[in-house]
Amino acid sequence: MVRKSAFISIALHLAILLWVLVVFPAGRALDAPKIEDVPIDIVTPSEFTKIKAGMVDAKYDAPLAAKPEDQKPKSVTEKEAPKLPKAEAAVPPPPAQQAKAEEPPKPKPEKVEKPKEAEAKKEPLPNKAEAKPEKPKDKPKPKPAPQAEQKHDLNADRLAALLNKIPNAAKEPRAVDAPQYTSKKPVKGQSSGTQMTMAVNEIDALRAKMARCWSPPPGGLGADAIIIKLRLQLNEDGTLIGYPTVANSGGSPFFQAAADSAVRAVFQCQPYELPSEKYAVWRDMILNFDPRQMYGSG
Amino acid sequence: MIDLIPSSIFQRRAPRLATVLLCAVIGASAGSDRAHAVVELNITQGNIQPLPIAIPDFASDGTIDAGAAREISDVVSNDLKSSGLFLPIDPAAFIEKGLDVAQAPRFEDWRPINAQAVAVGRIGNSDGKLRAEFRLWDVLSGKQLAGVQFFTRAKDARRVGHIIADVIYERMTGEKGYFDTRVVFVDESGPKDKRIKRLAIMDQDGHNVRLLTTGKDLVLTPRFSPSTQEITYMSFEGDNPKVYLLNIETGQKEIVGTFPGMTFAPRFSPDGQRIVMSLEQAGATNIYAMDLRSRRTTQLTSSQAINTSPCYAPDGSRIVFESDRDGSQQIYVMNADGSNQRRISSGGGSYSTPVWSPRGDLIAFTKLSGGQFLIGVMKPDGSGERVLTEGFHNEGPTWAPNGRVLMFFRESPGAGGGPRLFSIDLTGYNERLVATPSFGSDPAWSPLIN
Repeated sequence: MVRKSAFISIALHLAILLWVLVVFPAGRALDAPKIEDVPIDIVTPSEFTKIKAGMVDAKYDAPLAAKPEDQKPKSVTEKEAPKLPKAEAAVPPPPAQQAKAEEPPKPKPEKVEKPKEAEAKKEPLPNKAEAKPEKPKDKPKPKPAPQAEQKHDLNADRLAALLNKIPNAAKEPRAVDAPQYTSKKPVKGQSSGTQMTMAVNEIDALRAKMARCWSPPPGGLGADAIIIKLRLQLNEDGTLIGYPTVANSGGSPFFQAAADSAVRAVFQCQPYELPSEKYAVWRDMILNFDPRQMYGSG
Repeated sequence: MIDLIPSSIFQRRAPRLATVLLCAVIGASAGSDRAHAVVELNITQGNIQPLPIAIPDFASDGTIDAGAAREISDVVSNDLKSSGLFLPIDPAAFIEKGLDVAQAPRFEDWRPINAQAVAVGRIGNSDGKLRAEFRLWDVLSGKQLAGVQFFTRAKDARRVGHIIADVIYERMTGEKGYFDTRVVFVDESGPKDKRIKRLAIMDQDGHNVRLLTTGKDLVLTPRFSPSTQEITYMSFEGDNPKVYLLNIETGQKEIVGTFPGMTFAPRFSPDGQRIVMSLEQAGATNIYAMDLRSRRTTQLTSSQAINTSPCYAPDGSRIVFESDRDGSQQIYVMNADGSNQRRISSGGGSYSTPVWSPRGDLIAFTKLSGGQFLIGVMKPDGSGERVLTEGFHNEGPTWAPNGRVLMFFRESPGAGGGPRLFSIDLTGYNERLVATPSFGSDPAWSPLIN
C-alpha cells in the first residue's frame, strides 16, 4: 500500500516536473531585450548646485551671464581680426570683403601648372585684387581698413605661418583654435570644474541631422582612409560662430573636397537645436566626419 | 587640460556599433582656470547625393556672340549632369542675374534655391583666340573654390566647356575629371548581315563625330594610347590582319606589323612605348609584347590554350589577360615579363575582356553567366567582384581616364537590333546611352586631351 502511494506520489511529482519544464522552458525569462546605454552621472547635491549655477535658469544668472554680446558673431570677428586665419573664418561677411581676406592664402598651384599644357593654355585668373580694384571703394565699410593695416604690419614669415593654418591646427589645436570668448570671465551655461554630458538621444538627433546635411564626395582612390576633423563653435541660438576649422590635415584633392563637404554640411545644418542648459558642453565641438562606412560597398 | 579620446579607440572596440553608440567624450579641465569642455562626435553617415550647382549662362565680354558664350555654359552643365554627381539648378529659379566673373555673387540670393556652388564665367575673343575666365564659388561659406583663365582655338569652343567642367568636377569631388576626353569606337551601319564598320571618334559627350576609316576594310578593337592621342587597331584587308597605329591629331597612319596567323586585341603599355597583343600560332594563342621602336616582340605566355585580351596595369608592372587554360575563359594576372601567372577570377561563368582601371584599383570585365552578359569589376587580387550592369549582351568595357566611369556597348536583339554605347558609374548607377549617329561598338576612352 505504502509502495503504491509512493509510486503515485513519485509519478505525480514527475508529471508536474515535466509540465513545468514544458510550460516554463529554461532561459527564456533571462532573455531580456537589449537596452542602449544611457550615461548617468551620479552627482552629489553640492555638484548639482554647481551645475545649476551654470544653467540658464540659475539664480545667479545675471552676473554669470554677462556675455551674450561677446558671443555674437560680429564681436568675435572683431576680436579675431588680428589673426588672419580667423578673419577668414569669420561669419560670412559681405562677399567682397570675404573674398579679399582670402585672396593671399589661395595661390592655387594647380592652376599655375596649367599654362604649360598644350593647346589650351590655362593661366591663373588675375588676382581678385587686380581684377576688381573698384570693389573695395564701392563699399567703404569700417572693417576692411583695420584689416588692411594689419596685413602691412605683419612680416611675411609670420603671415605665412598664420596662413598655414592646417598644420598649425594639427600641431597645437588648442592654441590656434581656442575660442576668443572663453576668457577668464564666466560664461552663461558654463560651470567651472563640473562635468556635464549630452544625452544619447541628443547626440543621436545631432548625428541624424548631420547625416541629412552631409553629402560627401562620392569616393575615390584612398577615400576609405580619410577622416575630416572639424572644430566648430556655436552661439547659444545654435548658429555658427565664425568659420569651422579643419583640425587635421591631408594634402590630397580628395581630402580638400571632403573637408569642403563637411564645412558645407555644418553651415547647412545650422541652427542646431541643442539643449540650452548644456550650452557649455556644445558651444565648442569637434565633429569627425568619417565617410568610410559609406564607401564600404565599393 | 582637454582630454580627447581618439575616435579610433571606439572603432576598435565596437566597429559595428560606431554609428549607433555614443561617441561623445567630454573632458574636464583639472587645475585650469579655463574650464573648457569639447564634445567630440563621430559623423559616419551622410547622404551621397548629386550636388546642386548653379551654372548661370556665361557672359560674353562683347567680342563674341552671347549665344556662343551661353553654349559653353550649356556644355559645362550637361557634362556635370551626365556624371550623375551634380544637379544643375534650373536657371528659371535664379534670383541674381547678370553675374560678373570679377565679382563675388550675392550668396544670399543663392542660398534660398539650395545652390551649393555657383560657376560664373565670361567668354571673349582676344587675338583670334577664345578667352575664357571662370570662377567657382562655395555658396554656404562664401569661399572661392577655383578660378581659371585660359585661351584656346576658336573652333575648340566646346572644349572650353569640357575643361571648365573638369575643373569643377575635380574641385568638388577630389577626383580628376574626364570631360575633356574623346572616345574612339566602331561605327556600324547597314543591315545586320552586311554591316559596314568604320572607325570613328567623338567627344565623350557624343558630339563632333568624325570617321577615321572608309569602311572598305573591317576594323576591330581600337585602343587609345594612355599617354598620347594615338590609337592602335586591327584592320582586316582581305584575310590579312594588320595592326595599325593612327595619330588622331595628324591623321598619320602606320602599320605596326603584319603577322602570320590571326592577331588579336592589341593594346598600349601605359608609357605608350609598347603594344601587347595575342597571336595565334599552330592552334595556340599566346600573348606577345612588342616594343614600338625596335619592333622586337617578346612572348609572354606559352600554353596550348587561348590566351588573349591582355591589358597592362597603369604602372606597367603587371598584365591582366583572359585564358581558357583551365577549361573555361577566366581572368589571369602575370608580371609584365610573363612570370607569376595566376588566375584571379573565381565565380561561376566565364570571364573575358579584362581592363585594368587607370587608377589601378580595379579590373573591369565582361562575364557570361546564366545566358546574360554582365559588366563587372573586381580587385586585382580577384576579390570584391561586383556586377555593374547586366543584359542580353554587354561587352567591351573601357575606363574613363579617372577610373570612375566605364563605357561599354550593348547589343539589342532582333533583326533590327544592333550595338549601342553606354556609360555607367563605378557604383553601378547612372547608366546612360551615349548617342551615336548609327550603331556603335567597341568604345575606347582617350586620356585627358591636354
